[in-house]
Amino acid sequence: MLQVKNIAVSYGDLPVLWDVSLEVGQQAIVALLGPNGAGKSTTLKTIMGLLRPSQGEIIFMGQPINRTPTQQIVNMGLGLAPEWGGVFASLTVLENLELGAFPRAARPQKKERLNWVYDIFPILASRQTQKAGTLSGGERQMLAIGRALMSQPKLLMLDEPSLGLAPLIVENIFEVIKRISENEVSILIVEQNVHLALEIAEQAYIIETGRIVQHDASAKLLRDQRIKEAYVGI
Amino acid sequence: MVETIAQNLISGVLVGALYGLAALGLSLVFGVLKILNVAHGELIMIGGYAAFWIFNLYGIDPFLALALVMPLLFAAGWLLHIGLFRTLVQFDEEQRIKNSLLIGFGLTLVLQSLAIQFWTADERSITTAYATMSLSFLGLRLPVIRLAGLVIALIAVVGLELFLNRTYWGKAIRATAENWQTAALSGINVQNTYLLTFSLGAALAGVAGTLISVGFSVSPAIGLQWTLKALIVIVLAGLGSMIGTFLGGILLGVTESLSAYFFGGQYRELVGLIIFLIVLSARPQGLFGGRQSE
Amino acid sequence: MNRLKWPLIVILLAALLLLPQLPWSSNKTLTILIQLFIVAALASSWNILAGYAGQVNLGHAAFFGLGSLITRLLWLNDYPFILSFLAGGAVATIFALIVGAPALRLRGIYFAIGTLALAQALHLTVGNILPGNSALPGPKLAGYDLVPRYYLALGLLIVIVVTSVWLIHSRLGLGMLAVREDEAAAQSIGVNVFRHKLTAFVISAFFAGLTGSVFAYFHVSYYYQFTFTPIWTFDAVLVTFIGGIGAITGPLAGAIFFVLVRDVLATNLTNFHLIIFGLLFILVVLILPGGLLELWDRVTRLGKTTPPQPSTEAAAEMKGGGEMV
Repeated sequence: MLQVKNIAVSYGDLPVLWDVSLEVGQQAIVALLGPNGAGKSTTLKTIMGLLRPSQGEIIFMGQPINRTPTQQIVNMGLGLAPEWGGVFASLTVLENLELGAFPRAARPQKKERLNWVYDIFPILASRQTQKAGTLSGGERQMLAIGRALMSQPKLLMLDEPSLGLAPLIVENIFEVIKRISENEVSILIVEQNVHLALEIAEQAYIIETGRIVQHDASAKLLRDQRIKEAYVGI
Repeated sequence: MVETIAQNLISGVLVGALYGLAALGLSLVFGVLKILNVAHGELIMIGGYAAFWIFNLYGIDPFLALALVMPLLFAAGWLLHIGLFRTLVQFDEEQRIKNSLLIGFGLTLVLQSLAIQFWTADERSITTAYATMSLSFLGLRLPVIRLAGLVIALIAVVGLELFLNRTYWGKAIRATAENWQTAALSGINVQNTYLLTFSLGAALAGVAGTLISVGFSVSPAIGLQWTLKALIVIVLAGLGSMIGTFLGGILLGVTESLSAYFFGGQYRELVGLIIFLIVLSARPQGLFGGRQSE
Repeated sequence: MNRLKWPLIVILLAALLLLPQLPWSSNKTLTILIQLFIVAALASSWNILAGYAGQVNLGHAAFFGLGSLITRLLWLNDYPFILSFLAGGAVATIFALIVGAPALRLRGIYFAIGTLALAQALHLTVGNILPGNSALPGPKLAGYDLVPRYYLALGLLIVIVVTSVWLIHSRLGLGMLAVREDEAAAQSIGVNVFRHKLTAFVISAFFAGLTGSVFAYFHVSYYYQFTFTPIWTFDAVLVTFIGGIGAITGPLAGAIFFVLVRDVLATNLTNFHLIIFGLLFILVVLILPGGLLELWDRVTRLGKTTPPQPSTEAAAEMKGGGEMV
């Protein structure tokens, strides 16, 4: 479904990614792991078109999307719940969600979609008319994911969904992620919490200083001693 | 004595409404695109001339001509953005603001010179049949033209607020102003949003220009004056709220009027500039500081 | 080209210095050249703050105006000219010191519009206090000679250029360049950002003030507020950008081009030159940030200039929505 082939990305003159390749298949859950500053968020941003790769290709559903504008990529079925929050603080929860369905003005789909999002995140329904800026961290994360879901993505990318959240809420969110994937949505998840990520994903890529250093099935990685030491804190 | 102060207050409010209106377009563009179009005053000037010529050549009342001037200026903004300002978006925020200042400056020169070329440096004014009419209220004189200007300005502000808060495109504009990346992720076409915003800003300038043309006068030189006025209002009111900007304009108008009353007419312009400088030095972090967490 | 540089400069200087002594130097030639020197000096002084330290000062006319005002007032009241001349520069410098501290706290664009407002305020104030004309009285008019004015203007320009060269090669100048490139980075390597900005500001003001003094000495009759109008700032900005900001020869090349189009190719269309300059200016900002000098470099393929690199993020922002209405 998604193929990232040997991309290189720079911020101005500063290279951040060298030769990154990964793949996400249909109905798969893939994790992208690595230390801080390794380039995980940069990878996701590049896939979404917020950054342009100076080399390499990104192919989604058979179409190259290197040069495609972001809103079109969203139209094609890619969604991202970004690390920087990804909600509009000055707009209400409902407005945020409705904007998520911006290109899809088809009313019946929007209502359906909205109901589904409220179903998986009931707390958002109860806070519909509140400004997003007044929500708690966990609620904002849910809103960001909900907003990304409104555009009916076939592949949903999540950037550090557990960041700064209490364990109980994180559990809740990960349950939701599982539920979403059961609805025929592929997931690409970037996470600091390696254990959680490897539990939910079938396979994972490890990225360090801008390069993919490992790619394996989660089960194998969970047993890998080096991973355990480096990330799971044994 | 009290009467004259009240009269001054009223004229301050009436002219302040125009200041606020003039600032609306600039504020909108600055807030969304993060570019400062210092040629905004020239757009106001062009709007004024458009109204003037529509009146002189076709006899159409300026308040009706608004329906023509707005789309005209909207289109002008459209072209300017596509031709010029669109390329600014590729720079990062600091470079972008700096370059927008410079480009706006070049544009100011070009537009002003073209205006002098075509229309001479003479002051023009629209004198309608009812130009000298005024209402009397509690012993105060309210010139009809200026009053109508206030009403139009109010309609514009309210209309703008409704647009920004109740329509999809309005919300898209607000979303893009807050964070263009999140907006893009929501499927909003950021480039088109910029285009719409800029054109809207130009249309608003057109409205202001028309009212200035009929309520005061227009000449090629007013561009810089009005850009400065708009800047002062924006610095006073901050960004983000259209109503706040409008009120800022009123505040400036009233302050100017009262200063002219107490210190003499020649210091009217000076007061605005001094307030501007004081407020600027009180918030050296600029207008964006505190509004968004950066 | 480098081998030819010094001999060329010497020849040029010699030519300029000898010009008034030559039989074919008319008053018209001298006048145009003096105006050229004034524009070049004003632009070069502006360049010191903008090109070296990276601060766009839109109130430059204030210094020019102050210099001219003080000099004119003193000189017309029969103070010795040298005193009046230097006093003009001094007052401009003092003004810069006073407003520099608060003004330079402002970031980028706010500094620009702040200085603009300040200059406007000064313009209005002078217009209110001294609305009239300043004309040379009889005796001074009778003894008017273009030649000393020519040498004064040329001399000032040479001093400014030499100072610029010295500055560029000095430690102070290096600090300024660091500030221009990246204030935060400069701060972190121990450069006192504020002090460098203020120094550039004051030097710039000093020279602008002296240029104003030259103007006051040169012009027979003008309105006192004329030298405070923003036109002077804009001319300096235009000339510097079109010629090539940051480089020493930039303002000079720009000034030559400017005076050429404005005065020599004087056309019926009185504002024609402004339209051209405005358009050129926009082009320079967008496409050719090094101005005429960069154009020259590219044409003669001697220099290498890297165009500003848009950040990949911003480039993507721009790409969003490429196929529009």
